[in-house]
Amino acid sequence: MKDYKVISPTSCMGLVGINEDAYKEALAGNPDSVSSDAGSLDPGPHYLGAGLPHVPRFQMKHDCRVMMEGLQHRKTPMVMGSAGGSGGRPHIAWQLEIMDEVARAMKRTFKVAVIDTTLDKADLKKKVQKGKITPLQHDKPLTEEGIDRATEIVAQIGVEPIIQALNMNPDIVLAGRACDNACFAADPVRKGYDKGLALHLGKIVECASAGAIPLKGAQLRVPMIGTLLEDSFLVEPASPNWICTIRSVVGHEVYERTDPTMQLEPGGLLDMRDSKFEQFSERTVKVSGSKWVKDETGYKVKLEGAEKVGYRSIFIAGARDPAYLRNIDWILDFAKQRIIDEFDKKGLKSGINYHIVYHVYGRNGVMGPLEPQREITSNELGIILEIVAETQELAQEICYFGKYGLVWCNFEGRVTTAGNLAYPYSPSILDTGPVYRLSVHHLLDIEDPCMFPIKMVEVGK
Amino acid sequence: MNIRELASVIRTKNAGPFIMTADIIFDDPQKYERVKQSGIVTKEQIARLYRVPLDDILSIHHFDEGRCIKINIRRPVSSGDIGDTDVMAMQQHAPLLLIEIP
Repeated sequence: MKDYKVISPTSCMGLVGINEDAYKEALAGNPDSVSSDAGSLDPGPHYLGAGLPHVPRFQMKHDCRVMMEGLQHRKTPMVMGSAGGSGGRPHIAWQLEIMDEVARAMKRTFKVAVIDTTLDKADLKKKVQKGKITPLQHDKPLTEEGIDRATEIVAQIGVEPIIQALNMNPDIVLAGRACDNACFAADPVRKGYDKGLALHLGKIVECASAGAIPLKGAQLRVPMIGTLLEDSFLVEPASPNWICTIRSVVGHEVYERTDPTMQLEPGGLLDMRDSKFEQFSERTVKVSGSKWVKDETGYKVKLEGAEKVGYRSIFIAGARDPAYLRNIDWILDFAKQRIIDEFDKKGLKSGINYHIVYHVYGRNGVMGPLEPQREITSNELGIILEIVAETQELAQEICYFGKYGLVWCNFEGRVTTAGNLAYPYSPSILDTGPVYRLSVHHLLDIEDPCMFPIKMVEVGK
Repeated sequence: MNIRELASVIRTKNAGPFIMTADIIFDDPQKYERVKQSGIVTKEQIARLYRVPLDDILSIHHFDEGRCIKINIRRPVSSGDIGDTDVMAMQQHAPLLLIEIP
């Protein structure tokens, strides 16, 4: 079996920007495929819920251009996963539009196989009735009402639908929500390489050089190269002033995972308990022993969805008076109670129609209830009064009302009769728009791993 | 001795939207063994440091290959939900800096 080389140009498309020089160097090594995943739930539920990207458009355009220009002279399979960050339909449309712009500027057309991973709500409700949906770390079962409340529900796909798309022979596969390692593993698995090794390779290279160490004068981030052999794989950074060591690779393995030795995947489990890591050369680490364990009970995919819980307005201010700091708990309680009393009269209940949240930096703004240090040692406090309410107008009204409680309350020892707080902005209340909660994080049992529709689209026409 | 003098990485991060995972990673194998053998890093100790019920400390693992002690903690609220203070849970490590190893 010949060596199979895959390039991961960047950790997340549109995030930090592909290092073009290092990527060109990597391409010169004639890779068998290039893949990248743009997705993550890490930035929070807003982007999936609102149908918006979590990266700047110009940076996504840069990464699309670099990857598409790299395709110009060779026919290398290319997979872009988790389109637009969350992989929903608006996210796919956004990334396709950017790819179309890039292709037009290149005066070239590209065939893009687009995998739609958004699920039909009526179908999902039938799955709920049949007991095919179970919570994943989520504390509640998914209900039919919960399905209706989510703006869009996506499934995180494994290698099978990507293989199906690659078999249609496109220039690029653009997947909706996908497992990052599946984007890298799909083509080698299709060509007969070991699935356990391919998925583990994908898991290490998906974050590009995050699993490597920069030497002096190195670039910010560089692509990563993975090479699959019959019984093992190699990982190395694409630039000579970056190196992979066992420590750097294993250090990345534990990152963002509750258990680095076992990972649930669509249709099975990646078992890395017997994985061996060796320093293969100065810059390269060799990994072997990783195994794919098929789920004999069925094929499950993870569902993700977010529901709107209201609209947010915030008031940001700073306190410098020592007496204000000393009385901060009394002041916060006073302003909160004043809101509750006022809006109670209008039939609006705190915790139901609206929510009041304080973030007090200098006290426990970073850790909230988990903060072990109780005493304030700072000479100033940063205060955010946050209101989430049923409408933006209501959130803004309550926030303005709450602001005056903080700014003009008569705390003990008050000498600041002009006003108690410094605020940097006019307007002092900022409307930040809709707020989403990750409401769907469940497993769906499916019969056909390739149930996701694939459409061939031509960009640059 | 304070954990900071022994470990090279002490960090937290989301592991999915409902769990944050803390990594204490050691460069020096002897220092790793010293902390591991001390038996100081327990669910009880971590629950006390974070002022949370014992049930919220989901698991503690020792990964010898990576010289890493991993602590999985239930988030007070899910990432980005109303009342969250740290969407990616990147700054929840400070209580771990209080660990003293005999």
